[in-house]
Amino acid sequence: MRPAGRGPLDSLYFAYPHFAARRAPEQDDAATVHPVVIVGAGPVGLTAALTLAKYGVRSVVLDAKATFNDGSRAICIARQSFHILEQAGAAAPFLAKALGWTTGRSFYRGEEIYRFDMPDSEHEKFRPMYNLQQQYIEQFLHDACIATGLVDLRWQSTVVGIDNRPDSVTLMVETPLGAYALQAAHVLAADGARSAIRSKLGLRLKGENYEGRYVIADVRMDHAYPTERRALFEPASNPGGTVLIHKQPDDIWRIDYQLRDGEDPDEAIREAEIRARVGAILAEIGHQGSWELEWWSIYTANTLALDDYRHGRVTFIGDSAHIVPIFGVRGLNNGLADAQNIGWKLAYLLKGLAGESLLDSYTPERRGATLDVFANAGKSARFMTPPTRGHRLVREAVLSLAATEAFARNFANPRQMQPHTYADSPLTRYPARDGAFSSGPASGAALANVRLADGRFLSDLMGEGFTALVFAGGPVAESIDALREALAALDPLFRAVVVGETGELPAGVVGIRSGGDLSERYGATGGTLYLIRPDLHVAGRWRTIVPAEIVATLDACLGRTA
Amino acid sequence: MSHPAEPRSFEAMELVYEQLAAALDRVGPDDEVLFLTRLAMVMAHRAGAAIDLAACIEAAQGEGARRPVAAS
Ligand SMILES: Cc1cc2nc3c(=O)[nH]c(=O)nc-3n(C[C@H](O)[C@H](O)[C@H](O)COP(=O)(O)OP(=O)(O)OC[C@H]3O[C@@H](n4cnc5c(N)ncnc54)[C@H](O)[C@@H]3O)c2cc1C
Repeated sequence: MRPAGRGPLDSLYFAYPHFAARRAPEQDDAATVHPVVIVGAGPVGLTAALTLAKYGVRSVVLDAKATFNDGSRAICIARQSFHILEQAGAAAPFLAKALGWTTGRSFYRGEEIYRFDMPDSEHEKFRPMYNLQQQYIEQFLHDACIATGLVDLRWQSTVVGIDNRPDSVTLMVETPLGAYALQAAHVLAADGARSAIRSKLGLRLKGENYEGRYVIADVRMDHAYPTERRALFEPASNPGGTVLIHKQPDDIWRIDYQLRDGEDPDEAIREAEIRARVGAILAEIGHQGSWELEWWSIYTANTLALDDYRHGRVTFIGDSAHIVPIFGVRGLNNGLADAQNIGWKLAYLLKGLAGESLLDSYTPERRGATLDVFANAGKSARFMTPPTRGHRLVREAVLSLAATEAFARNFANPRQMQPHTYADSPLTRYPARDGAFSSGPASGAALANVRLADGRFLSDLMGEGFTALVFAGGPVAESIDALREALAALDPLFRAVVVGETGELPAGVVGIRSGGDLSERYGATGGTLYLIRPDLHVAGRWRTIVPAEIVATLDACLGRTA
Repeated sequence: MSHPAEPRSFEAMELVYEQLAAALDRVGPDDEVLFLTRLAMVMAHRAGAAIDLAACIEAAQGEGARRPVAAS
């Protein structure tokens, strides 16, 4: 919502483009079957389109709206998401605009009781978290999609019907210029929390709704405070409710405040009430200058998900598949990982590089990630909005102890998003091999980044396909050459990165001459191999190569085994 | 001879948090003060010499304890 007198798109800082409806080729012509149609041009749908385009796969993207999201929703982008954006070729504008941060502070009745610093070091290419309004996120992704020349974006195009057949899918699309049928080999349903495709297919989200409502308000003000997350428990300005404060670019600040039990939500979102409550909070944090109200909304926490993210030729990604509480900033970040996961798998399938069964790994991997998020988000939602008197009392006890008792401070930790480890994935074939390592990322885990002697990062050396990170030397030097050829024969996008003192490297093999730190951080010795997936997760690792297992892992990752 | 007990891990304390919240809800607001006092008595007895009860009382009586509890 916006203040009286301003339209839904009259932002103080963001100029909304207007995307015209265009006549679709299908309205004049017999329909072609598009390899991929993506429903929803939100951040998740656009990231899926970009990931496909990176592999040269075209997509049609439909969105009911004529522009981007009408208010600021997701604002925190996690490090892992920056890796996803970078791989999709879109990170640069995000880095130029977003505000990176590492620190959060919790206050109890005005006193600082806890400070957390998210893990960061010179070995990380990106900061643990960045703040950026969702409109910018969508705009940058949109511009990157257009630049690929492979994404056919159709605005003001609403999907109103779906026929999901074994051989292809037909979507009924309504536009201001008339309706038409659109044929697709694969549909990605990125149509958000109220997914029309979900309900048309008769599917329902299952899970829990949490007590407690939050008002989310964005204000513009000149306020001197670093980019940190501030959580105010029991503040004088909002007794009985928690307050969260985040800085965003363009002097925009996000104020989230919890409503007291029994407060009437309709009353709470009246403009005069929003102004009074936000004004009191700003006074409490010492803001003395003026401020302008930009946008507000009301929110309740849920942990809801589909049982299966794939139904025939339709795959659900982002909020259409799962809804998570905002505390811990997982909604958007979790969705971006969905988009990347299905993106590379579908691209491999459509380019004839992988078998159909590769898609079967999408639900276990990404639903597993969501269940992991639920476990953490449920805890933080119960802390942020205590559901019962018992919870309120225990929370009050730990918060009031936190100033003097160190053990009590961790309860105020927001459990920020961590990348999920695909330990139980059907693509993770040899997790037992982890036992031989004393350090390094485990099978299924996200790549651990390392800054190399020449200033580049390990993540910079990964290819578009599977990458073998090979530590040279040891008794197996010769079988490594043969293995490398076998892997390259399976995946034409395969790349080998060889670490250590080596002679002439064959064409296409990347060398890292001085890998001292890298070997140590990866628990590696001569003959160690890590097989890295296109999404920068570890497919498997072997302290000393076992060629048959490595080939079998790549086969599984290409959907060539049952 | 007293053996200072190894403190519970944070993960274990998270479980305590949930168990205590659930117990308080079962007991209800009228009996919660008595319940918590009885809990302290039982715990002090079972912990034996492993805890310094006077120090525990002092820790719990710190600054935060004087403030009114907002729970309704
Ligand atoms: C008020 C609010 C605050 C939030 N705050 C945070 C936060 O702080 N942190 C966080 O991580 N997350 C937050 N979220 C969640 C975050 O916005 C979502 O997780 C994220 O937008 C999901 O992206 P998506 O692309 O899956 O869906 P959406 O962004 O919802 O995009 C779905 C798109 O599909 C289109 N669409 C829908 N139906 C159809 C149809 N039938 N035909 C064609 N197009 C259709 C819509 O127009 C829309 O553009 C918030 C959400 C809300 C509502």
